[in-house]
Amino acid sequence: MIADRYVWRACGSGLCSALVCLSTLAAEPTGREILERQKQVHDVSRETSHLSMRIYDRKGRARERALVTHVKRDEQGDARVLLKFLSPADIREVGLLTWEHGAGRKDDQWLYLPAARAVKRIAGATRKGAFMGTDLAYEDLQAEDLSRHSYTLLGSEAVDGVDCWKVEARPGDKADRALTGYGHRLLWVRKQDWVTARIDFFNHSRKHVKTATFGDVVALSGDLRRANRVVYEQPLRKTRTELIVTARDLESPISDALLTRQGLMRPSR
Amino acid sequence: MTWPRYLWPLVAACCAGVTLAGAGEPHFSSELRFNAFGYRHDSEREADNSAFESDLRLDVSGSRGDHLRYRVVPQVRFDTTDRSDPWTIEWEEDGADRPLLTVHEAVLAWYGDRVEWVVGKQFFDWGSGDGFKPADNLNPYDWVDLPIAEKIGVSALSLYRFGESFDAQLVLVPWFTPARLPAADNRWLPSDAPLREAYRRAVGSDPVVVDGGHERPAHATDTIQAAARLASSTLVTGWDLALTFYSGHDSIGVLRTDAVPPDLVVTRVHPAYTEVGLSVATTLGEWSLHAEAAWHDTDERMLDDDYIEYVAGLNRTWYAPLANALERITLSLEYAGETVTRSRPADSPYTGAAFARGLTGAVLGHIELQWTERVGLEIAGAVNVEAGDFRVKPSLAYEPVDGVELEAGIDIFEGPCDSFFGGWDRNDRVYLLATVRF
Repeated sequence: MIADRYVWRACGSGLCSALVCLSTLAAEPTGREILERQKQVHDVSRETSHLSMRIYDRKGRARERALVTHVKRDEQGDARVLLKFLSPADIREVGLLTWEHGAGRKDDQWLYLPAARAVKRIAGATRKGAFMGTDLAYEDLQAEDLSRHSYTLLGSEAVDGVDCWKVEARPGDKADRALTGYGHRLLWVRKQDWVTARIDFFNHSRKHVKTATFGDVVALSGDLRRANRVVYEQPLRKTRTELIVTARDLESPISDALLTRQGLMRPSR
Repeated sequence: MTWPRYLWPLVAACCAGVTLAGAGEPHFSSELRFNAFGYRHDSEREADNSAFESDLRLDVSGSRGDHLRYRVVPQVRFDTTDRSDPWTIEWEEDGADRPLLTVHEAVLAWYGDRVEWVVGKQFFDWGSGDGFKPADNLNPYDWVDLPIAEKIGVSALSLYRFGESFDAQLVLVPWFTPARLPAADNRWLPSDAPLREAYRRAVGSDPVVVDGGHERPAHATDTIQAAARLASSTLVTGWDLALTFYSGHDSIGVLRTDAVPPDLVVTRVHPAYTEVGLSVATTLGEWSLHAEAAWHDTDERMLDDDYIEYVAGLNRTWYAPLANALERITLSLEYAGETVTRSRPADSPYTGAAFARGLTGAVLGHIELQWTERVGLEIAGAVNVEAGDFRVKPSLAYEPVDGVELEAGIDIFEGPCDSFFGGWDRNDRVYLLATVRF
């Protein structure tokens, strides 16, 4: 999911979207328009992905994980996201369920720990914390919430030779600021296909704490694009988490029952 | 008449056979644990002050099609203190000793869009508490080693129905499985001093305590336990609510004392009861909050009290605290109590067994300091505020390589000898636990 969440906000485009862009975003779009357009192009109603994850510590030693994510959106665009670890054995079946809600309502999030056979509701502040020893925070697993951020277009910049919009994202108000560990983020969105190429994360003290880079962009149906490789790096900690999408399914139905607290406890296949 | 238990493994084997025929590639994993203990004090019940135990679980799971899943977890145990019977192989773990070989868990499940069925030996976790769950009744506990009390799987049929506002679950457990209590030669068997003292006061001489055995619910209809739960995470925004109902027998039971001078015959019996529980969980800022209460209504007034057990608590995790010196700190705090709504008559020959209703006004806590993902210090404990008895367990965990965990810790029990934790104050010990997963 992790990859897909960003991949999602990131993809899209082709001739059709370019035309739409030219007509609706005459001249330079605003930061918000870029993110809205990205969401419009890349949000899908359902998606299941298998990922392999490699977590490098400061000495360069790697730990490997395999996981599966299921994402389903309702008509309002709110997503229910289930993430489950498939390996190694000590964390197999550990799961995270997120119910995203629109503006004015906090998301619901539950964690399933099979050793305790217990599903626990997670508090908002927990979302700022590292997810299962990775370089991702729980909040990194959630989709970009446009209602809780303000976006400013800072200009254009190339990432790996691809021309991108450079957008600054900041929490909307004090309450939104309290919910995130990031004072602001810089996003580079590829002009050619609306795929996010890179995100720099800054804490509330304006210190650069993390960078996410997105690669191996593949074309799916229509304008839909996805990055098959995402790397999160924390320069201060000298750690890195690498995510590779090994399989993706946009067609198979996802049962509503799976995306519930009880569904969180269902064993993976 | 009792239900033909021997049919159960046969039915399970048939179901498994049907499932496995045509099933996909199974997934295998294993867990091997070694646990070594060293006790601080001698015990009258056990000659040795050190102990060693080990168990191996093999986990086989798989699926057939999109809806059918299975999971089987056979388990082998060994110990140096005769807590596992080397000659016992059991499916239903209702013997006095731990079986050498058992099936820890074995389920066949059908997961549909709105309904899910699970049949087999399984575990349930109801309620929102961390250290204490008054509404969680379906699985009895193995109290053979008190500090690491573990749930025992029960053969059950579970039906889950998903709804827009509520989810409903119905569970039927056809056979009664009692909690496994320490045997006479186990240092975790509580002292019988209170029973002797009561006898001495009544009769004026010291009794000879005689084990009167164990009276289990005998009739088929008596052994069926039924439980239901209505749960919702959507009815009230941001809240998890659950209402539970349970009808069955107390798995720990009570003790009936029959004075036949000079003998005092002590018999374990299991009162029938019904219980209604309510649990809630929500979040407030950086805290997770939960509360749970259950009203325990004993069928026969003579056997046991009626009472309400409750717990309320909070959790919080701090990430990169102390200027990034730690990876995280996790804190859990709870208060657990009990209110008796109707007391057992004063002339009742029944008394409560140990292990039950120990937290009558207790603070439970747990703090975990995680330096890295591989090194952590944990301190867990509980104190009964009024009696002043407590238990504390500091432990250090280290994961040298993936799949191997080492844990070293100390179990400390203190308090007056007639208090819940104080009854085990000669069982302070150090332990070393190694877990290998492959």
